[in-house]
Amino acid sequence: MRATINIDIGGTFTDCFVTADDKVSQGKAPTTRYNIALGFRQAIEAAAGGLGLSLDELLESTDVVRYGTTISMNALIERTGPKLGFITTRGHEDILAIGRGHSCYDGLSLDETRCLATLEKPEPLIPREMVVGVRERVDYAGKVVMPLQREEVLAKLQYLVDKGAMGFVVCLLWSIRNPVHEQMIKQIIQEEYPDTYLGNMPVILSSELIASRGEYPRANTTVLSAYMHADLADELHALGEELRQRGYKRSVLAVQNTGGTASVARTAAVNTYGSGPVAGLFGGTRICQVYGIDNAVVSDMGGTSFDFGLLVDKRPRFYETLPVIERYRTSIPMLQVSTIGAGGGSIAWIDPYVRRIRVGPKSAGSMPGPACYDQGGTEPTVTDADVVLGYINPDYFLGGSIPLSKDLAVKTIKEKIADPLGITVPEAAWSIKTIVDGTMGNEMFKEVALKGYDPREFVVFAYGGAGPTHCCGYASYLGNAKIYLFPFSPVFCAFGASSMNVMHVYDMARHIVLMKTKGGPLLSEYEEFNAIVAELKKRAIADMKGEGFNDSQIAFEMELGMHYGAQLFTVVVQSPCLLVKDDQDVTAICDAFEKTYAAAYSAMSAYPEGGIEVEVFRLKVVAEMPRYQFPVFASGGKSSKHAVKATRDVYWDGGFKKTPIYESGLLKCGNVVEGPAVIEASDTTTVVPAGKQYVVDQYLNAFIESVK
Amino acid sequence: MSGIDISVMVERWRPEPATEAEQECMKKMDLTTFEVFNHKIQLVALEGKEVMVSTGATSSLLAGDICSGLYTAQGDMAASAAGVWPHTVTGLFGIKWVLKHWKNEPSVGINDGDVFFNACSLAGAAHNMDQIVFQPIVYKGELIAWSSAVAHEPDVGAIEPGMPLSATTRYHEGELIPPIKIADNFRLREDVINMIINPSRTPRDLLLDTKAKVASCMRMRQRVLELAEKMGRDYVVGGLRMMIEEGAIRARKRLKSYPDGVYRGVAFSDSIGRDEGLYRIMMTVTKTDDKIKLDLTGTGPQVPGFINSFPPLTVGGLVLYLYNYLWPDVPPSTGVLEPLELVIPRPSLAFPEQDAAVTNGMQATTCVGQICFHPIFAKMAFDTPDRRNLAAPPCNHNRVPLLVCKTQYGTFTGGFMPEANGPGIGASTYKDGVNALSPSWACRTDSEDTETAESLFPMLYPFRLRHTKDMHGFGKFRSGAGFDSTYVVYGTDWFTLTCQGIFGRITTPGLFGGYGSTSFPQPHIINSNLLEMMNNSDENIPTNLQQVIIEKRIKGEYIVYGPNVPSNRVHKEGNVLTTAMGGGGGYGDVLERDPDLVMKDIRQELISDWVAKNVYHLAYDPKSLIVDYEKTEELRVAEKERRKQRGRPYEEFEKDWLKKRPPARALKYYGTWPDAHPL
Repeated sequence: MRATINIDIGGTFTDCFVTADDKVSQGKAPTTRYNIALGFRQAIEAAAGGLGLSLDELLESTDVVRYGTTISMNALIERTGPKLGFITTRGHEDILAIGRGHSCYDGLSLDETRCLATLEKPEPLIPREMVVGVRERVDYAGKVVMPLQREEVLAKLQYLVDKGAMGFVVCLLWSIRNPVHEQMIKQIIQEEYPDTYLGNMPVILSSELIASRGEYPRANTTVLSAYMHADLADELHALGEELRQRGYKRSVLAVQNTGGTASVARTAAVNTYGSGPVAGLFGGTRICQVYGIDNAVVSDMGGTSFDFGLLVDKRPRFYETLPVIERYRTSIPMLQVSTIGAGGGSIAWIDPYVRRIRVGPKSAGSMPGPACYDQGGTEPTVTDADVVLGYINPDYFLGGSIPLSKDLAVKTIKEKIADPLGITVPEAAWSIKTIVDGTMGNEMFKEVALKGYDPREFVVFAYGGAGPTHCCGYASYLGNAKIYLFPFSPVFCAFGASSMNVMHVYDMARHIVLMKTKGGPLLSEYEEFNAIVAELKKRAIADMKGEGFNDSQIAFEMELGMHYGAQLFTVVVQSPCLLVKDDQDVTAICDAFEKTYAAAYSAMSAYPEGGIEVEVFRLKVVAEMPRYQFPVFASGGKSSKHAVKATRDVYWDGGFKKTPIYESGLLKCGNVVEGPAVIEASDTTTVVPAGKQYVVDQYLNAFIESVK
Repeated sequence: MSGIDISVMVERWRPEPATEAEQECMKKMDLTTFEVFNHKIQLVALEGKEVMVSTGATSSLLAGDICSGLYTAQGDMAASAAGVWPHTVTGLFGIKWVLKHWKNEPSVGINDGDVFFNACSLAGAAHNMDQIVFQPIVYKGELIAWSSAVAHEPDVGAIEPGMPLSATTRYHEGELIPPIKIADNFRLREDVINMIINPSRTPRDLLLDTKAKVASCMRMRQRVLELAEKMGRDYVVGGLRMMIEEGAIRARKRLKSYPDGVYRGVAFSDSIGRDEGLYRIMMTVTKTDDKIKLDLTGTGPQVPGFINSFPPLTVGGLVLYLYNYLWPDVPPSTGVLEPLELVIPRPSLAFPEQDAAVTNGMQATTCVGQICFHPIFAKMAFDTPDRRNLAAPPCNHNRVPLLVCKTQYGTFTGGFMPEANGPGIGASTYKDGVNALSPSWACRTDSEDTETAESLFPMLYPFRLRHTKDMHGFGKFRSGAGFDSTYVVYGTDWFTLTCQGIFGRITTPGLFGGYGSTSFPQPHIINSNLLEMMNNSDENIPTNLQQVIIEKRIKGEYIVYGPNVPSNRVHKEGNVLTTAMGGGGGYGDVLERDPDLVMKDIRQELISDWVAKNVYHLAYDPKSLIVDYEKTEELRVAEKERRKQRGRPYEEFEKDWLKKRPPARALKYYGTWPDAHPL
């Protein structure tokens, strides 16, 4: 037996998805923030138990362990990272404190930032007294305008060391064009504090991490990486050590928020942030491949938030524009997963001015949680509404492990919503459900539409504790989207990690004019373009060699950030070729850009007269990893009657109706459940309204579609 | 119709009465459905904004001088994404103007596929640089809504590049384009577009931005039509109208919660653009039940400079305050203006004759107006749950540097300098204000990194965005700190810069005992040796504005400007230019400031030792930075005693005060002293 272990460490639970030949197993354990390794081990143990194996037996047969996380490092949350010194260009020492105009908003929602009297900027991770500037300057073209002075660097280093610096972050202006001064500073530090001394100081250069323009996000990326580095390295080292002691013989692969995985030794700490949800996107990719689906929205409705990401042509294609980690804007090429404050714990309230129901963004969280949890919560939530409406069985929530109080759900909705508005409790609950579904659906629609795609061409993959309960509601806003549901939904991000390849991403910001103006001359000096690609390829091949792959095992693809001349922003275009050798190649790239642009922003806004330019090169190198193949099950017939375990009153648009309740675990391949129906599993409840049917397919996944 | 009609912008800023059709449609909409609709429409406006920013050219898009929105068929704004909130007011007049004059004009008309344009201050645009594009949304032959997008453009062919500091009449301000059709049947009129971009020194930017606005309008139109198709025409018509009605309800209820009374505010400033001179903005707000009357009687006369403004900008100033501070939870809509009555004397600075120059009117009534709005509403809402939303005014030394230049790549471009929109915010009632860069003017906007700025424009910064010591308002809670930057023209010999400001010597006041901010000049150094200093790694290269101004570390010909910098000089490589912005006002008594917060300011290099000792009366060891709390308390008690000794009976103070009078040279634009009547 050969196995893979795939972990996603979440805020509440650590999820594990294990593949073992053609079998799979999943495990969950509470996340132990004080010692991540504990929850990590317990989750694997639980999954191993599902296969009838001990932890050691499983680890001895395991080829790869992949690690993803949805939580921030403790160092960041508790501000317990090392004391760092920040070295930058003299005259620009306030860069971390001043930031950019948007710094006040970064990491906060619109509602949190409308009032300027209550606005707060993020506190820099490196205080002003640990920042020094050195005399040096490089211009926009990479030309040295002011040479670096060694003596000054030495004096500034001494100041930082005297202040207690335990490491250095170096971010100089235009180091992305010419890193010579950053490299000189690193050399000076290594000479002054060599490895052999206890005083050896780690040095992180911004030019080694990020190649894109913009010193503020680049500085943040570098600072965050340095700040989280030690904590993460210790954590992963401890995990790896424990696994190895128990029989695992290989290295741990860290899931990267840029997509793909990489060995821990080749992972920057900042690239692990938010890698769990990105793994979820790759779970969606795998599903697309299995079903031949081109476009999908991967959606996760949990207790406090609704996360979703887009797959186009069977894969994630969209990156965050300068993603924010906590409240720090960075420039890592992180795949986009959008988050809004809508979940089972979202609180419903009456707008005091216009007397109508609003839902969220405040959440009751998991403590005290919804009123029906009977943990002291007094605010009506989406979960309370789901209980009132009969969707969630209070005696079978999470398989009965958490008994819910329907009385408390009714009481709080009655007192806080229904009575003040003069409507019935079910009407109030129905409104809550309708509004939260609308919020999620509208947001999904906007994201799809903004990327230039027709939302009606997308299916929805629904997971998360509340996803199957609300998916028919929110998916309807895309049109008549088909919805897919999965038995491994509770560990979907861990499942996603199981399908990820080893991959590295390389960016380089360079301005190349492909076409001067409409119908004008095309780029004819190909060397500059090709030299950039060659440089990126060189770095990619070196990294992949370090990962243990040779040239024949790796593949490249390239994306270009392009725009019409004079535009501020770029659109990401899949390049039809890696290198350009003639007019045909240049034209093909321009055509790809114009097609992408017109789809996103309409042909009326096209501006070919301004020319077409490349600003960012992004090369991806991929080494394929074996993937779990879904086993095919024999048909158990269309009838699903055997799975009906009860009936109860469930509220559908207009009133309660006796509705069949199904036990998910009893449904077989081919079974069809006609709506209205409720399907209960130990981890979630699927709500199927009238006019829809729930079909179990040959992989024991299910889809919901309209009845023809 | 031909000629000028200012009645629309003067009379039509409040929501139009609901039509019978709108009322019928509203009746059909239940509140749950409306909540979902409301959310959707807000997202559509946001989508429109994102499309505009993503496809446009100029840095004003990044600096946030933009707005996209959806309007009812009658032209009232139902939802918007900004940007600069005053645009939520100015956007509606062009639509109402077109409805009044072109709807039934056979040679123009309003048809599906049309796109209109307005950049005329006499038709309600803030000024001719704020170019507004708007499009009728026609469903099954019926006009059901409008989409609109606006952005500030860098150059519109005025008497000088950028914002024309020397303008004294509207005829100096460049192209004056009243509401006009720029596309029909979904096709841009190339001849009309050419006319619009032709006068500009940066036609490429103007063309691309215009297309970006059209794309924004088209996208919002598409979304509204999808909604109408899916949910029905009544859903859209009723929903948009309900958003207006809700705005009015929210405004009225909020006003009702404040105590009735008459609240006054007055602000003075000292630059009309091309010249220095005092002027006054005066506001009296009478709050009765759920209504307010805003009366600008007492505001100074029209001036021969570019800071006059028309009534939409006074209303714009009010919404800027309300949406950014007092009512951040209220979705912007024309409905919010429903309980407002406006009284503005004419002719005056706030309502001049129609040939007045108004390019920088936004700075006067809107920006100076903030100095009135903040204390007025602070007094009105202090004893209500809205106290947390109150603050001292933001920095009104808001310098808006605007450049037009030939780039290092040989193309012509223009836009806001990356530092625009970034001074410190006034202190709030419970905490310090936010330091620069901060969005005191526009909402949820951004600025450029040094690297982006240097790649877009031909310049090199020896220092940039340094928090300037002591350049903010002190108080129990201090304002956000300001910043300074200096740059040298690099890689071009054609670089022009204007800078618009309104406060030279007069500073932003504090609130309830807080100190005002500081004033500062803007030096330029012609034919400087800075690039040579850089080549030589000279250790005397300045790293803050004080070293430039006081120590004169850079050699060259110094020209020191106040708040305004004319663009009458073409700068060549090596010329050094500076920009700075201060903080806002402080809040409360400096003697009540937590000593630890004072010490934090010292550590962050935001205040000098002198301020710590002489303003905050802090006792501490300057080497170890350890506070002596007991000694500090003693010093503060002693200072309070000295204050009492300095005190005088009010009548005595007033008698002396009324004898004072500014010098005549400061009063040449003021009107009569002290009442500011026209001379």
